[in-house]
Amino acid sequence: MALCVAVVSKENAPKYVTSLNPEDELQIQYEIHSSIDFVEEKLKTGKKDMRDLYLGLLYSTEDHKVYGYVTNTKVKFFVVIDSSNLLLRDNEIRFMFRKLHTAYTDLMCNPFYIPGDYITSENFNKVARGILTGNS
Amino acid sequence: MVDYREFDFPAELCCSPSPLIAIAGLDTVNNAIHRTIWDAFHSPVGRDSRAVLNFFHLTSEYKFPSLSEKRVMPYIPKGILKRNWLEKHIRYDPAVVVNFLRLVQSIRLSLEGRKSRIVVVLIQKLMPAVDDNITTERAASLCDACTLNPKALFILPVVDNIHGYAIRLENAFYDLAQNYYQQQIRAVKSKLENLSKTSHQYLIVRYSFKIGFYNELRQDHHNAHKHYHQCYMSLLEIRTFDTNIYEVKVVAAYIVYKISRLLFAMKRARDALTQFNSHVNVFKSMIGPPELMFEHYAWLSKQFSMFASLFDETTSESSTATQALNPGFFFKEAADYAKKRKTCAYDICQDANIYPASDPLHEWNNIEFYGQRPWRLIKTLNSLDFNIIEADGVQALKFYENTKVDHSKAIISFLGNAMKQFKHYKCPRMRNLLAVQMADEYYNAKDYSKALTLWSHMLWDYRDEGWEAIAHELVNKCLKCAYLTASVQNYVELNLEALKYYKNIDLQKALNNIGSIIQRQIPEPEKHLRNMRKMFDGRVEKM
Repeated sequence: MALCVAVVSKENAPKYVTSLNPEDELQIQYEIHSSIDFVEEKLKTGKKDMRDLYLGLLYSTEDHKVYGYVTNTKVKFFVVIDSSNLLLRDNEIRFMFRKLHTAYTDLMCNPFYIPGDYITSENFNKVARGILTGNS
Repeated sequence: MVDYREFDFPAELCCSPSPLIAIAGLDTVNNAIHRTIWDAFHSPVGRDSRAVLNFFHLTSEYKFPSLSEKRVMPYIPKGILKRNWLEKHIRYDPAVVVNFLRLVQSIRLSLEGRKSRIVVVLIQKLMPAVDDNITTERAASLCDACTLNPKALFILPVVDNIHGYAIRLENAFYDLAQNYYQQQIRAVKSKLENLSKTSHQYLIVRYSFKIGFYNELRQDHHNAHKHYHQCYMSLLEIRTFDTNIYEVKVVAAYIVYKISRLLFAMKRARDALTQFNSHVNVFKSMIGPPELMFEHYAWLSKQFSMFASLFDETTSESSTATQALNPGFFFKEAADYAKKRKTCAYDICQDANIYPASDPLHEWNNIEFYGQRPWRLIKTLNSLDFNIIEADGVQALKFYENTKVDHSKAIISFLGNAMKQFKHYKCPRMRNLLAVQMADEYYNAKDYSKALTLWSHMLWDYRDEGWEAIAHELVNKCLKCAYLTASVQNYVELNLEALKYYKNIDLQKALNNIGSIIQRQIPEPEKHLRNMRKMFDGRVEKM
C-alpha cells in the first residue's frame, strides 16, 4: 500500500522512519525532507479549516508521491506511496493518517516515553508496518 | 564532421514576430533629414503605446526571396514545416513597402507575384497649406502615374516634431500590414479547405501553422492560439514510423512552444500547464528507434527546460507561479531527463568512437524541413544503399552523443537553474536536495573539490536538522572527495564528524586514519578508492 511512513518532530527532525524497501529509504528520506518546505508554507499561510489536519499531496516525482498530515502540536506525519498506484483514494490515505495519529497519541500517553525521543515503541511500529503492508 | 547541432528551438521560432515593413529610398548615411526620419521610427519614445513594427532598409540590391513554384493543389509534400518559411516572413517578406520617393515601378516589378502593400511617402520641406488645389492635383497625377491607390500616398513634412508624424505613419503602416496578413490568411484558408483529412495531413499541419503565424504577426494572440492548437491536434493524427517520428516530435515541440508562449502572454498560465503536461504525456512513450533512445531523452529534457524558461520569463513580474508550482520543478525534470540521457548514452554509445566516412551529418544545416535527417538527402540508388546510409546516420548521431556532448555540464546547469527558482520560492530544503544532486554530478565529472564544498555545506544543513541517515551518507561521500583531493584538514575534520555515525569496523577505521595522519602516515583509502593512495604522497609529510 504505502512505501514509507515517517514522523517528523516540531523541529523538523525525523523521529520515526520505516519503509517497505530499505534500499530506496534514503532517496525517500530526501524527498520527505524537501516536502517539509511545503508543510511549512502551508502552516504559515494558514489553512482554510484548522480542524482538518490532513495536508494532502505535498510533492510528487515520477516514482513517489508524498502526502502530509500535521498535528496541532506541529508534529508531522508523512506517507509515501508509489506513483504508479492509482487505486489508492484520498480517503484511504486520510484513514492511514488517522490510524497513525491514534497510535501516536497512545504513545504520548505512555509515561515511559519521553516526548522528543526517537520512537521505538513496538505498538507504534506495528501500526506503521500495518500501513505499509496494507493489512491492518 | 561539421559543427552539427542537436535539437533546439531556433531563433526564428522564439522571437515574438511583428509586421515587417520595408523602407526604400531613405539615404540615412548622407542625408540628415532621412536620418531623422529613420530614427523617429526607431525612437523609444512612447514605445508602449505605439504599434510594434519591424523596419528594414530596402536597398536596390535587395533580392526578394524567390516565390515558391505554383503547384497543383493539393499535393503530397516531403515534410511538414519548411525550415526557411518562418524566417522569410520575419525578415525578408514585407507586408508593406514604403517608398520615400523612389522608382515605384521598379519596386512593383520586383514584387511581382506578391501581395505586399505599396505606400509612397513624400517628404515635404514646408507645412502643406490646408486647402491647396495644386497639391491635390499633383498628388492625384502622381498616384495615376504609379497606379497607386490615393490612400497609399502620405506626406511627411520635415518640421520640428517629426516624431508625431512618424507615429501617425506607423499607425497607417500597421493598418496596412494587418490588411496584408489578413489577405494571406484568407489565401491559406482557402487552400486548407480543399484538403482531405486522410491524405494531406502534412499540408493540414503546415497550413494551420501558417495561419497561426500570420495571426501572430497581426498580434492577434487569440486566433493565433486557436490555429496553433488546431495545428497541434492535426499533427497528433499523423501516423508515425521510424522514418518520420523525429520530424513529428520536432514540429510538435515547436508548436507547443508557440502555444505555451501565447498562453503565457495571454495570462493563461494554467492552460499552458495543462497543455504542456498533456504534450509530455503523449510524447513520453513515443521513443522511436531504440538505438536512438538518448535522443528521445534529450528531446524530453529540452521540452522541460524550454517550458521552465518560458514560465520563468513570463511570470517573473506577475505572481502566477507559487511555491507548489514554479519553474524550478520543470528545470528539475529537465535535469532528471538529462541524467537519463547520460546513462542511456553511456549504455548505447560508449563504443561509437568513429565517425562514418560517408559524412551523414554534412548537410545538417541545409535540410529543407524542420526535423528531417540530413543523411536522407544523400541520393540513393537502391534500397541496400539506403539501409547502409541509415545505419551510418545513426552511427554518426551516436558518435556525436558519445564524444561531443557534455552531459554533466547540462545536468549541472539545469540543477543550478532549478536551485535558483526554489530559492526564490522559499524552498530551502528542496534546494538542499538539488545541491546534493549537483554535487553528485560534479563527482561524476571528477571535479572533486567542487563536490566536496557542496556536499559539506549540505552535510551541515542536514545534520543540524537531525537527519542522520542522510548526514551519514553525505559524510561518506565527503570523505571520498577529501581523500581524492588529498585535502588533509578536511579529511581529518570529516573523520571526526564520521565518528558520530560510524560503528564497529568503520569506526575503528576512522580512528586509525586520524591516527595515521597524526603520525604523518598515509591513511587507509575509503571504500572503492584502493588505487588512489598515491594522491596522499607528499602531502602528509609536509604537515
